[in-house]
Parts: sequence; C-alpha cells; structure tokens
Amino acid sequence: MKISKTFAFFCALLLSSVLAFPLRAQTDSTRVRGIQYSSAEAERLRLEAAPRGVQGFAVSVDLLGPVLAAVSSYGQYEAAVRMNIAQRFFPTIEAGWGVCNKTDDNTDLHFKTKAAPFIRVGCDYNFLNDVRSGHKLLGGLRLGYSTFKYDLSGKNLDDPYWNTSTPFQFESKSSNALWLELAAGVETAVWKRVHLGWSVRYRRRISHTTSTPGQAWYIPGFGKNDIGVFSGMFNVVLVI
Amino acid sequence: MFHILKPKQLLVVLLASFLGLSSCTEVECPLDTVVVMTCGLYDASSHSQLTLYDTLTVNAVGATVPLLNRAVGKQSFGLPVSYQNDVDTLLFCFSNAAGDAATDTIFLAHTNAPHFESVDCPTSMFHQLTRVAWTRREPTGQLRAIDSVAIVRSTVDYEDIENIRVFLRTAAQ
Repeated sequence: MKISKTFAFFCALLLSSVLAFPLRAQTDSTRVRGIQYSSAEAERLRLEAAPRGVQGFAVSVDLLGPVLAAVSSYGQYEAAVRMNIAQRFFPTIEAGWGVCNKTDDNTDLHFKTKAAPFIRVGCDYNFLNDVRSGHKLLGGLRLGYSTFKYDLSGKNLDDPYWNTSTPFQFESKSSNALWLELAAGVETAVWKRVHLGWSVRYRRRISHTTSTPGQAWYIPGFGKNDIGVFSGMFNVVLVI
Repeated sequence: MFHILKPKQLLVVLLASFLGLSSCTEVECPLDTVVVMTCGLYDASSHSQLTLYDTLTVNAVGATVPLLNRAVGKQSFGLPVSYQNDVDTLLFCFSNAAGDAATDTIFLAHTNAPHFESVDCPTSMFHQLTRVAWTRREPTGQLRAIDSVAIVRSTVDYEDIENIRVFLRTAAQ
C-alpha cells in the first residue's frame, strides 16, 4: 500500500516534469540562440567561453513546508543558501525550524515539538547542458541533522491487576537525528532574478536517539520518524 | 534573457509541487500489544521443560485478581508485572485432586518504563527484571515445589519470549 502510494506520487511528479519541459521547449524553438560552431577551434573557443568558477549565489525559501504546517499536523519553515559553481555544481546549506502538533483522536496521544531546528548541507548537480537557459534539472545529496525537544502526553497507564494509575506525561524530552537525503528536482527562471523550482526528496535515517518512553514521532527537517521517508519541496529562489 | 512562465506552465509546476500535500497516512502498530512476563516450567534435575499436572494459581501481594487462575497441564504461561512496584511478591499456589495444597513465593525485582511506539498506537509499560528470589519448601506428597528460579531474558515487552525459568522438584528429588 505504501509502495503503491509512493509510486503514484512519483509518477505524478515525473509526468508533470515531462509536461513542463516540452512546454518551455516549444517557446524556445522559435528563437535563434547562441553561435553555431563548425570546427575544432570553434569548439575550443566555446569551451573557453563556458562559465567557470563561482558564478554567484542564490537564496531560497520553501513554500510547501509552511502550507503543510498550516493544513496538517507537521511541517517546516526553511530557507537555503547555495553557491553556483560553473552553472553545474551548487553547494547548498538548508536550515529551518520544524513544527509538529499532533493529537490522535483514537489514542488521545499528543506529540508537540518545542525547540526544533535542523540543518542540511550538500550539493546539487545540474544535468542540463544548456546552462545559460536558466533551466535546471538537478540531482543532489544532503546530510541532515536535527537536535530538538518535544512534549509527549497521553492517558494514564492503568494497571488492571494492581489497580494503579501511572501518568503518561513527558516534557522537554531531548532527541537528535542524522540522515542522508537524495534530491531530484527542476528549476526555471520566471521573472528577472526570481526562479521557481520543486524537488522530491528521499530521506534515509542514519542514526537517532531513543529514550524512555520511546523514539520521537517526528524529526524536524526529516518528517515522520521512520527508516526512510519521501518528501517534496517547492522553492522560490532569488539569484544574487 | 529573462523568461516568464505562461499561466499554463506555472499551473503545471504548482500542481506538481502541491501533490506533496497528499501524504500517506498509515498505522503501523505492533499486532501484539500485550505485555506479559513469560514463565517456563522445568524439571529441577533434568532441566528439561515439564508439563505441570498439578493445579497452579498465581496470586500477587497487592493485586486484586489472580494473575493465573487454576491452570492445569501448562508448560509455560504469561504473568503480568506491576506498573509501579519495585518488587512483585508472587504466590505460586499448587494443589492437586488429592486435596494437597502448598504455596511457594517468588520475589521479583524489576524496573518499569512507559513505552511509546507512535501516536497511532496504544501505550504500554515495559519492564526490566533485575533480580529474583524465592522461598524454599520441601515437596509434600505428590506436589512439586519450586527448587530455583532463573531470569533468562530480562526485558519484558511485546515479545512472547521466555523471561524466567521456574525449576520444580518432587519429594523424590
């Protein structure tokens, strides 16, 4: 069931990306762009003209996380800074703040994050050869870490044999988690220095701390605590 | 040089992005959420598992109901552990059809830890067995008596794995 939903999610994303790029290609096909080279010397000149070194920086914010935080039990607010190296490599630092406030109607259990910062560092690679177009097809890797506190409460634990009642109340429990993240996404210029892009992420938990009464239900910047989770981001990027 | 997305294209990008809102909600709770200490009965001389044909009732000091009521023909059974006591005093009451009856006492020291799996799953109390002691009684008639008790798995959780071994002996042993 889980695999089929995830598969359907990715199919939808891949389908939309397939749809999106030909739409751009149709508009570009009417333009005459660049210089046509026909000799080895010309090719050398073209390579020399290719962008090299640090081309600039960009800052971005994720819009999907706040929407999720507003309409569901968890989400995050995050921003990122990235460097542009030769329009190919994009070392990135993402940092943010996770929020989770979940109450289950059946069990009456309540999980709420308190201090929940997270950070991810990594690098993207642009697979498109037309690096000057403003479009990017990105694949990358991230290493994420969060150290956070949370409250957990629920109904008392009633002992039916000894007739006792034990409170189930935990405040400011500390935890931390480290995870690896695979990223794939697209980005395009929409207006001057403003770009839009989305990416899908597969997050794989490497380590996390557990203590009484158990593992945290949610990890900031990661999502619902599991061995592996899928997620998505929708970014507004400002190229500096 | 700056490109502007047409509304149709922007819609596709936005639609793809907000597909992420459709999250999967699944409940992955353990199927067995009953926490009991599993006790195995063994013969004191051969150390092999035995079937107890005496009637066994297990009561606990402070408990309002028997933990095990008139069990017959058991090789192993589960006993609850108290949520708040540091030491449970378990009274093993043996009886048979001939009218013989005798009681042995086991003192079981343990720690208690509330357990949380997920907000979707019921909470429970896990235990760590730390020490066990027992009273010595000479077997009378055909009734067996507790010879010794050993902790073989200290963690008491959802797993139905043997936690303690109770070695029984007869008058002939």
